[in-house]
Amino acid sequence: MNLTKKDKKAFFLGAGVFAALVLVWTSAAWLVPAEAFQGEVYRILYIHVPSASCAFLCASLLFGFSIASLVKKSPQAQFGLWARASAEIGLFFTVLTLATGSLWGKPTWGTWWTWDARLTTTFVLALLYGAYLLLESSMPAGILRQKVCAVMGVLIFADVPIIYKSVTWWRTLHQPPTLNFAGSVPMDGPILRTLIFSLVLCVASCLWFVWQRSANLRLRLLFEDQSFRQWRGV
Amino acid sequence: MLSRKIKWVVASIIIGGTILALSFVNMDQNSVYFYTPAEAVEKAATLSKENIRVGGMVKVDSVQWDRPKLSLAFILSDLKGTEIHVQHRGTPPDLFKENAGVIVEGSIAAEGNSFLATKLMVKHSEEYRQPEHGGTQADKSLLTKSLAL
Repeated sequence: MNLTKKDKKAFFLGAGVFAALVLVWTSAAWLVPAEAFQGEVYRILYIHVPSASCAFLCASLLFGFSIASLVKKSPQAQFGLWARASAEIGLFFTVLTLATGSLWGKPTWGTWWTWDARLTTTFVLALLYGAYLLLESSMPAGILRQKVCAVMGVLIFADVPIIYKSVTWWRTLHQPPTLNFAGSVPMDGPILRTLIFSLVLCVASCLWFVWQRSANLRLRLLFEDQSFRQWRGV
Repeated sequence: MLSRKIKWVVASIIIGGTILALSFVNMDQNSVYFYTPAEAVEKAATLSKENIRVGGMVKVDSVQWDRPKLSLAFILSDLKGTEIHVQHRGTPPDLFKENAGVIVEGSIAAEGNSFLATKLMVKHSEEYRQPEHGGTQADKSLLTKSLAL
């Protein structure tokens, strides 16, 4: 198989990010101290919080690409591909957030699931991502699909501030965010540093996924287009 | 055909309005996730007919755990004088202890003094500390704030 220079670059970049992520998660699993109240089980934080951040990041990307598809009368097809890639990776990270949250909730809260505002709005985000992918798959490629999906993309992004604020707007079982933009962060140094490292690397891997998946989708579109032309004898 | 500008304005009003409306709908007391002990006691007569959740703190020296019978009794307090005697059958979560935040699901007696819990959940705060801080959460104000006490 012939790899282009660009393919090799993408491969090594991704391999580097994932190796660093494995390194940070390994140290999070053994080297970082346990937590005073929760003990060892709190370590799932290092997957749960970065996953949630990536789910939000994908929604922001989806929002950006959707706006780009909406403002121009005949938008570039690329924005549609990038939007779909963001939605796919967003669904993955939302499901990962729900799964790790559930695994964390059982030993700490004493329940796998409860319908509080934070959990419910996050579940809605997963449903919205799924609905977006269904909608996108059910329409023929073209400007109409790109515009319709872009409207849905904007709506999906509206859920993100609601999820983020849910723990302060309503009474919930889930605690408020530890990483806040104002005031002191109630988290000890080693825990905070490891969390920030895993967060940054998880975001990097998320961006890599979106990048590679959109390249993949572009190829698929190209093949579909060519096979259609051959079939029509054009 | 409407102009693009008007369409954008209408779309933003619809989306913004929906978000605002949703946040107000949920502000409604009927859909509150849990009541504070004071609220639950005050409205006990009407709430006793429903399945509700009450959130508060586990009072120090109030926990009675009968292991063979899997029977748990403790006092749910708002740290301001309102106390509810809670009965629960089943093993409590590992993090259930005195001075921990807890949310109970079940039914309150019409007099408001006792509660029969079918589900017991521990609520912790957003604080993460190293083990030398001991087995409790140091900053109680974070927990009481998020329990609306």
